[in-house]
Amino acid sequence: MLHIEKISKTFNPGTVTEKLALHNVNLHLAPGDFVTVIGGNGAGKSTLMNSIAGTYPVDEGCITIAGTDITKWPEHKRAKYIGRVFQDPMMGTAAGMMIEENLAIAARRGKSPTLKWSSSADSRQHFRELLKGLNLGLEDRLESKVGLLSGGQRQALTLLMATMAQPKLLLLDEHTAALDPKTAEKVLSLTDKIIKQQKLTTLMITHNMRDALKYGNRLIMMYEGHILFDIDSEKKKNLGIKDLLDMFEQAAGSELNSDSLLLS
Amino acid sequence: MLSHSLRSFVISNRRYIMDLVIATVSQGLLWALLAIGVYLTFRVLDIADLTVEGSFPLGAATAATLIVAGSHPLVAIIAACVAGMLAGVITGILCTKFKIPALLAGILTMIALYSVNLRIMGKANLPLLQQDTIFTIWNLGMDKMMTTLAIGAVIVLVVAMLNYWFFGTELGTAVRATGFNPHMIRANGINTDNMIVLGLLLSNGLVAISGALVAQSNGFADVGMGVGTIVIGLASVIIGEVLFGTRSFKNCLISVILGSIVYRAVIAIVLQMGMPPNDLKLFTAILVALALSMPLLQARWNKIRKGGR
Repeated sequence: MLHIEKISKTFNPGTVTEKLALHNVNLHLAPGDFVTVIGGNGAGKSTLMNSIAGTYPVDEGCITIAGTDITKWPEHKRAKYIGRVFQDPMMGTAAGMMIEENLAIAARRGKSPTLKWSSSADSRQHFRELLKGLNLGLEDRLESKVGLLSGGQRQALTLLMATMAQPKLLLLDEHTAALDPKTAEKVLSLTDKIIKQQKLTTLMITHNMRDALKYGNRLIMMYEGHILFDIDSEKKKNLGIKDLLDMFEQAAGSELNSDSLLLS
Repeated sequence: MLSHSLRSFVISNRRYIMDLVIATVSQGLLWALLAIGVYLTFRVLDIADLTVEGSFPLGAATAATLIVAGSHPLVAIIAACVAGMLAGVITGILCTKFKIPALLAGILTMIALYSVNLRIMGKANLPLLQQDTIFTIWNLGMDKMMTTLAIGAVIVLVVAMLNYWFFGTELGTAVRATGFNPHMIRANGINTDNMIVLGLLLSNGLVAISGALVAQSNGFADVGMGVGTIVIGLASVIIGEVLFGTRSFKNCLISVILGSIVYRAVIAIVLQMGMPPNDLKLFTAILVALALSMPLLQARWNKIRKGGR
């Protein structure tokens, strides 16, 4: 589904702040793969995700989704294939617009907007049913402005928006990091439910090792701009946090700075 | 007694006051299209677009020149609108394709339009005294003031309804979302650059219509008539929002139109009270500066009051 071949990215080349963020990264996702991505600060997790989403172009390499080379596509064009949830709950929705208007935009992701009225009785009924699935009571608040929702509600809504037009790839960039632990747990299990229901190919960055082990069928650890190791579903089942730390030490030849990762 | 003298003034000057009210409301309506245009950039797109200072006289110049050349006033207004839209597109391309900051892009177009407007009119001031205007061809048996009021009201109503319709469509919703959150709208597959260009196009088209109407109402187009229009637009938007609310897009549209009328009323009142007309722009600028700093001043004031308790 997703094929990444030898992509590299350097920020601010030729200046004192030059930073090699990705170095020759290869990654292949089969349809239905749910891959969790862990790694310390500056390991290149977010750069990998933003490179796939097209926030900035990569320096080298090529990215293919479902057989289409998207390396040179602008961000908005890639959205046809990619659903995204950001770390910042403010990023995924338009706060000043109604829930209904946000959903109407997401329902048409990847199609060019027309001069048809954006919401209809049919679409409203459809949105209500989708919102019911979130179990947050939002189905009765279609006309509320999104700015009135809590961070957790906004992330759940963004998740719904990212998945309602059946993306070929779902990108989750630490989408629960800004939430309190209880809400984060709720949003994560909702995420898992939606991914399983729609059999979505997913890449999820997390700071939390326990979540990285608990969810998904594959796990990759990133370190200094490359993928340190890639654990498949058989091995992942029996893995603990201790094993992960040991594997990191062996592969990277240094001790993992545990401050940057949550161990529990 | 003040109230007594006020009442006797009102009674003895009834006719005069009625005329003043009608004139104020009509002026408010003609300028309301400018206010809606400024609202579309300043609030919807979240851009302070100075192109309006050039597209307002551009609309006036285009319409006046065409009318003098014998065009139908309605054709002249439509041509003015198209000219304004082109100006908006130029600013839009400067700020999206060439990444010039929106404020500077607007200033560049505005300055360029000064020369363009002089070229269109061939001189700095073009009178329309003996010409047919939109306010003389359909007088419906009313005097000039009532005609201006009626035609102004019809045009504003049509424009407001078209705006309400457009910003409820998929395309219009995408333009509004671009102003609120460009990240979100890009992640949903829409080219934000195109939406910004489209927003500037619509805004400056409306502003140019406003210029064309004001020129026909005043009886002349002048190359300097754009000075301060951005501030007049902002004043109308802010007054409208404060007095009449911002609950929904429809509510905002109505607020901005009423804001334009209230602004004209405020101006009429301070002029009646004896303020020299030359100080008008200073007065408007102070009004807008105060209104824009209001949220911060209010927060400070609340803090001081709490601290004192």
